[in-house]
Amino acid sequence: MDERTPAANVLEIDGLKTYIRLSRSTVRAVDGVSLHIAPGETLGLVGESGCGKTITGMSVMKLLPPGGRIVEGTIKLNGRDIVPLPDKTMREVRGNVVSVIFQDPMTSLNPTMTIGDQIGEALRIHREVGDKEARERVLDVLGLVGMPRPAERINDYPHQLSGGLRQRCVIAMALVCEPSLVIADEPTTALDVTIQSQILDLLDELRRRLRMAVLLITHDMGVIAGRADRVAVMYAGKIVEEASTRTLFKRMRHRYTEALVEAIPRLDQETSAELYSIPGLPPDLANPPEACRFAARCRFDTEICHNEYPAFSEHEPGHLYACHHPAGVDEPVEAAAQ
Amino acid sequence: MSVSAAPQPAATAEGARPYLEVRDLVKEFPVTKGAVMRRRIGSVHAVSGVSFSVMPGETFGLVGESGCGKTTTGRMIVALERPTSGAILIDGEDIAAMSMRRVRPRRRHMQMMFQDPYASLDPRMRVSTILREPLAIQRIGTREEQFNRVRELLNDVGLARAAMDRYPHEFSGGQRQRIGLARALALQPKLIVADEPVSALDVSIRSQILNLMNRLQEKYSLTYVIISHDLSVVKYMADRIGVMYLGKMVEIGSGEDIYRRPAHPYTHGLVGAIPIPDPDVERSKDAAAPRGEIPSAINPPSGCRFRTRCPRAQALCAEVEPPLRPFGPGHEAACHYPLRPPSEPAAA
Ligand SMILES: Nc1ncnc2c1ncn2[C@@H]1O[C@H](COP(=O)(O)OP(=O)(O)OP(=O)(O)O)[C@@H](O)[C@H]1O
Ligand code: SF4
Ligand code: SF4
Ligand SMILES: [Mg+2]
Repeated sequence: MDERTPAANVLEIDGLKTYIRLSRSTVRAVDGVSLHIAPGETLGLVGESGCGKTITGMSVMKLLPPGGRIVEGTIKLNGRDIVPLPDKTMREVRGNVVSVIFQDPMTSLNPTMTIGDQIGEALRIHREVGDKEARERVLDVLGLVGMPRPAERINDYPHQLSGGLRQRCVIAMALVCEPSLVIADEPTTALDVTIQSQILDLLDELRRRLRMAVLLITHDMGVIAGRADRVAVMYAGKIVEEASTRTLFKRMRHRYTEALVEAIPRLDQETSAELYSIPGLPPDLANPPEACRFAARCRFDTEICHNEYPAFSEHEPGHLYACHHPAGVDEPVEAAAQ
Repeated sequence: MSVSAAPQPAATAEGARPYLEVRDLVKEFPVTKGAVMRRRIGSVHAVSGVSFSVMPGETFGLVGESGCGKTTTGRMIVALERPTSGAILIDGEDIAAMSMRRVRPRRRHMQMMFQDPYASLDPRMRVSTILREPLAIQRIGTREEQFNRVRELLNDVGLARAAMDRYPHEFSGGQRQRIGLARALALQPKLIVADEPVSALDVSIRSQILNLMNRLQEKYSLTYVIISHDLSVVKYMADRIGVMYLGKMVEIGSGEDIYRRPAHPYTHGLVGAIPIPDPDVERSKDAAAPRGEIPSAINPPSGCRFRTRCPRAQALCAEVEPPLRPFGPGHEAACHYPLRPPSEPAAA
């Protein structure tokens, strides 16, 4: 990066709690999350199903499921806290300052509108451009996302396209107003692996070209390793570890991160030994333990883990983790840093 | 189907016979148009001449992307689907040539485990009924013996006895997959075809199920065919792997053959596209994923089906379908211009 002054963060989430009230219980889907993303940076948010990744992302869009509410914390987008903003103002923010790419392209696309009209809509709402200019811009952005023969495709309906091409349209829709932040929530989970790789390459390239910040939500540690600059690992509503991608994979501290990586079969390794398997299930977020939320499944738990929530430690600058018995802390930092 | 030319099972040097042998398997689904007068306007070439064999106690992995025909192949092996042509020898007997009436009693030897355990378990049945049903249908044992067997099965897959009285929706995805495995085991099969057995599960639950499958394989000398789009999972589980693309087997080999010594450009691209949880490995990757999209199986490309996406394709690839050729012991690939020289000169 060639920034002269340290760039202000595009996104700063501080102490976010988003709860979902159900008829008989309240799900603490996001329970005290803080994170930040700089311009041009990709932060990977990784964790298992139900740990709160999507609700974190949707809190930034302020599009929550019924019963969902931000109960605490701030979410600053380009320095402005969006938590108190009324819905009318949020409509100007969405698609313009921040946009989202979902797993299933069909949830974002309207089956009754041509893709050209859908991509152009955000421009007409946010940029007050005429039809001709909108068309030009839509063709540009379709070219940018690698749509073959954009001038023909612009009049297609979503069902006429393959899954990969639909996801390219969704990306075009998300990018047409050049937002500062893109939330990509499992953008390739529904796609074949060769198409996934094409789409992730595309997102990477666009991020670099347009200097967008990207929140890349995924459960796939491999995708994180290849695509994120920094990683936040989420477990049961909380961030448990955060570090640069290389540090996280090479010198992980939190015992959940460690277990997760050991549980994944690796293509590049001979696997004669048995994979580590994490026993049990994540806790119920309607009633999570007031202690380390991984304690019931952890190999290294002691009494304190079941009684006290571990505070964040910063072992090296930028590497945070909340664990009472972290991995590898007895090594000196210099040796580990090599 | 002809009865006279019954295929003879291949025998290896040691005289051991494969438990499963698939030869030139073909499945075409008709594509029809019109609601009343249904006209056949073409076929989906789901599986187009696939052959492989699996030794007793061995695990064979089938990998490939959507539409490559791996699930259809698996369903034909357990006789949930009948082939258009080709042979499926189970313990030496060709079930493809048999009537369903003759196949049915043999079905207990080959069971299927599905991706979505929820969709494959009857939501209104208690677990004890789900597990007892196959025994009851085959009239195996007394009621008492059947319940004992259910308890044994639950113990095998690591579920508490209390699970018997509960319904599928009361279990997590991983637990439901354990129930699915217990049901597949109920009739003491010799072969289990597992179609994406862990794809619906979280990472931390995945390894629980994979390790369990390995333990049970050892305990009961099971032969496995594991089908998945996830090459990492297949490589962890399988002794040998078949890579499919658009209905064709393009490469067969050990996990190391496939990962380190691929001969087929598609295998090479597929391996390159799979993200590995190690930033250093990811950053030093050279292989680019195949460009473009998977063509339709209704009109597959002529010659080599991969040619529309292949960086090495030449004129011959559009004209002549490449046969499987050997690249080392147990390693075969079907390509005119492979990434490494074949171990024998190609037959003219
Ligand atoms: N619409 C909803 N109504 C009620 N609870 C919900 C709803 N959406 C999510 N939750 C709950 O909020 C918690 C966090 O869910 P979230 O969807 O953010 O998880 P996730 O990490 O995105 O999981 P996945 O990997 O499965 O997408 C979970 O306990 C989930 O059950
Ligand atoms: S705090 Fe204790 S229980 Fe939690 S991850 Fe660390 S060692 Fe394990
Ligand atoms: S036969 Fe030709 S098109 Fe097919 S994989 Fe080989 S080089 Fe590519
Ligand atoms: Mg989600």
